[in-house]
Amino acid sequence: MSIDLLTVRNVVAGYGRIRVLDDVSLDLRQGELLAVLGANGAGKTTLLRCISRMMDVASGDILLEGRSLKGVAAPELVRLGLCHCPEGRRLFPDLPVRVNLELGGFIHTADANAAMMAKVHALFPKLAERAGQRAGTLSGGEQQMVAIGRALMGRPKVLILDEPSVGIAHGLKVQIFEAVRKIADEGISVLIVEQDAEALIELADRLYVMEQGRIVAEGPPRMIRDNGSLKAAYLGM
Amino acid sequence: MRFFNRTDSVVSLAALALLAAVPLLTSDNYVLGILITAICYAIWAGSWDLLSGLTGRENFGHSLFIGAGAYAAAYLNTAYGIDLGWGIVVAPLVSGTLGALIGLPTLRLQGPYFALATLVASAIAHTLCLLLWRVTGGEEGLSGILPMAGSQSDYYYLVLTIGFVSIAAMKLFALSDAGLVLRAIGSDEAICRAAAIDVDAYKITTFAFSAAFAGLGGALFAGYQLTAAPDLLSSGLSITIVVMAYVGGMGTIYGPAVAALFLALIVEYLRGFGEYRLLVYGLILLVVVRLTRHGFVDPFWRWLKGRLA
Repeated sequence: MSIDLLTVRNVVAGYGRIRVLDDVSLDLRQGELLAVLGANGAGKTTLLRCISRMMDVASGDILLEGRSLKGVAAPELVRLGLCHCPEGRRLFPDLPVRVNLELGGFIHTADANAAMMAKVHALFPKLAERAGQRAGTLSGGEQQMVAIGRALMGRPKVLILDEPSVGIAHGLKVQIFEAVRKIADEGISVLIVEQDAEALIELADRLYVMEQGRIVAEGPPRMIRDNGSLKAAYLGM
Repeated sequence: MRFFNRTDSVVSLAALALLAAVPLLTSDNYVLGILITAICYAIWAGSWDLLSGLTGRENFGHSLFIGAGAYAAAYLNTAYGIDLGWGIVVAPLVSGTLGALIGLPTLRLQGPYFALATLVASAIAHTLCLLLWRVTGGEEGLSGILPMAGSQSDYYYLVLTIGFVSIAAMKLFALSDAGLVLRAIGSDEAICRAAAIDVDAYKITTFAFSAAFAGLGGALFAGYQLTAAPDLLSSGLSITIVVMAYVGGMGTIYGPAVAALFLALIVEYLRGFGEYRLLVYGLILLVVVRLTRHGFVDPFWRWLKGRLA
């Protein structure tokens, strides 16, 4: 029996009078790799912004381990076990890789960070080689590894990844997705939003497909893979 | 904690020794006076850099804290006869508190609004200072402060000691983990929040420290002039300090401090140019800003160290 770690319940949200999310519900289970797919403008990033409290919901609720996140400040989320790795990586370009990672573990002790850093290095051996290098000098794929590593340093129960494959060479993309799979296998629940559906379909445990602010399909990868019209209509495959 | 490296320490102590030797070489009070002023500017520019250089949040009202410190010390002395030594202790507390109070609402502002808010805050303080002339002395300021030291050179040593310790303390703060967090905040505030860093608390505390050191410098300056004048609250002074910090290289603390020291001396010794003085000064600034992206002090020092090594 799996436990719901994160529940999004009938969420409606938007900017001003424009409604971006229209009655969106989803649930993320323990140790699961859950992918939300959809074209540009489907509302994927807005959904993540609502979950990580960068934006308020108009109605509906978001629960982390059964606790409503209403009124919780964004920085508090890390303590509750939710780390967000935003789109576009957003590293501290002038600081070394090691320091970028350490800042992700800001609320934890130095010992805990050293242990977690070893895990991150095991996941992304490149980051161990580049520990002293300024983050801004890394390639796009390596920067994405730092961004994911930094989020992991917060020791999340739920890791949220917003389009980690944007602007990254294909080979590195595969490496990153494989690492994400490993993270989920170690018991951290991952909610990943992507446009590159093809790569994820093979790796995810479950998929949601979004279109114009609504969830239009939900199920195991097999369901989407076998549904030609769904693929054509929403994922451009 | 990352400490100073050896070359840095040796050279800064040598510079301190050189400055300490000046009263032995000359008994000219004029020279010592210029140096006292220059050291005050160094404290002001260094303290400006503490918040604005590290986080990139430019404070265009630093004079408010300088003036507040100067007036606090002057008022205690002229109204209650409290020794200037106590004024120098109280001034940073007054300015630091003001910094926290002003930082509380303004440091949450995004974009250029923090700069505008600080500029306006200092303009309000300047106007209030003129309006409340019964307390502040208006245009005349508060004069008649009783000197603290028996001679100009004694006071010079006091200012030099406090100035050196202040700048060293600020540099250590910038090199500490807190300094690192401030740089990270300057780079991307949202990401710092996402890592559960209390961004506002860091900025406000640092602003209070920055203001406190400015107030300390203000009190020292008032103690030298024996007057607290409304000029110390003017936006002209704030902008001079911003320029000094830019020329010195933002975010290095010692860069702005050293640049301020030199520029304050240059302004004084350009008096030979008569009314062309500020024109020449302006040209020097233009050339420095045009030729160097990170000011001249830090790149020059790195280059020199590279040569020595």
